[in-house]
Amino acid sequence: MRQRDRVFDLAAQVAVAPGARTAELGAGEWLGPRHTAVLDACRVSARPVAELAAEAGLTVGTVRALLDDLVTCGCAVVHPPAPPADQVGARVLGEVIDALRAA
Amino acid sequence: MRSGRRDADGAGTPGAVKIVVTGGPGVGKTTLVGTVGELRTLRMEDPSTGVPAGTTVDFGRIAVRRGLTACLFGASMSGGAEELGNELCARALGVVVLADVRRLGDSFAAVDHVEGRLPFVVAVNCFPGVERHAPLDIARALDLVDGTPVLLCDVRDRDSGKEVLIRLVEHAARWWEQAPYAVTDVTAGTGV
Repeated sequence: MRQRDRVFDLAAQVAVAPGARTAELGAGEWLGPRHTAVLDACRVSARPVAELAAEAGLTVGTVRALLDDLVTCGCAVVHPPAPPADQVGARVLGEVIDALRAA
Repeated sequence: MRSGRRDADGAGTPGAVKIVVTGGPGVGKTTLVGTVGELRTLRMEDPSTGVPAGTTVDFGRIAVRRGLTACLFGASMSGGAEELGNELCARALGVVVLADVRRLGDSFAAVDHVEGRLPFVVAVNCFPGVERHAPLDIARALDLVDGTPVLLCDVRDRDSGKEVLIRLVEHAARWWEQAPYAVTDVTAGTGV
């Protein structure tokens, strides 16, 4: 097993890296079809790590390994959730409550 | 560093709010996640976190706006599933501890895991035909810290489930505003 020093949070948002030459993604020798499938899933908007795993039917460990490769090659960016104390300050929670009421 | 994170949920940078639903077996965790969000099963196996094969978590998402998602994770945290609990609670906004008045003892493990560490509410799932108890009596039976909200709910009902989550978010907002910042770093556990 590879050692990884990045353990992406389950709720971290995965986005295609800005400026990544998306037309060429997957053309590299070591990006496999599962890597490109993960990137494709994030193309329209950022997706949480957990959602990528659940949707693809992959384990969380497998998706994290794929993301590690994608971040290393500069194809993807992973945004961890902000510390909750900062979410309170940023008034994000009011938006969450509104979304829950509307759900 | 707090300053480096301040804009993490601002416009342009995608963000997420993490909410955990826990409690004893058969108490309604999956039902709650499924009535409020889009339910999916998450296979948690990961050698790097120590969560073993065969561990699953209920996952639901609620789109808040473009770039902001609320993620619900439903799982039991008893029975030595410490790695799982740590993983789910890292950077979580708060926790719903679901309880069944017939088996309040099942809720102790969950309360112990989160009390003092993360904001939480106890939501008593009122199963049909089961005698109702006053929230104050339940708070005493669970030996909850003063101010911990105890709610009566029916997780099969969408509005009731939504109300539980709204009350949690409101409680969490107050809790985090009062919490010393050091507390948030404890929960950062596996966060990157």
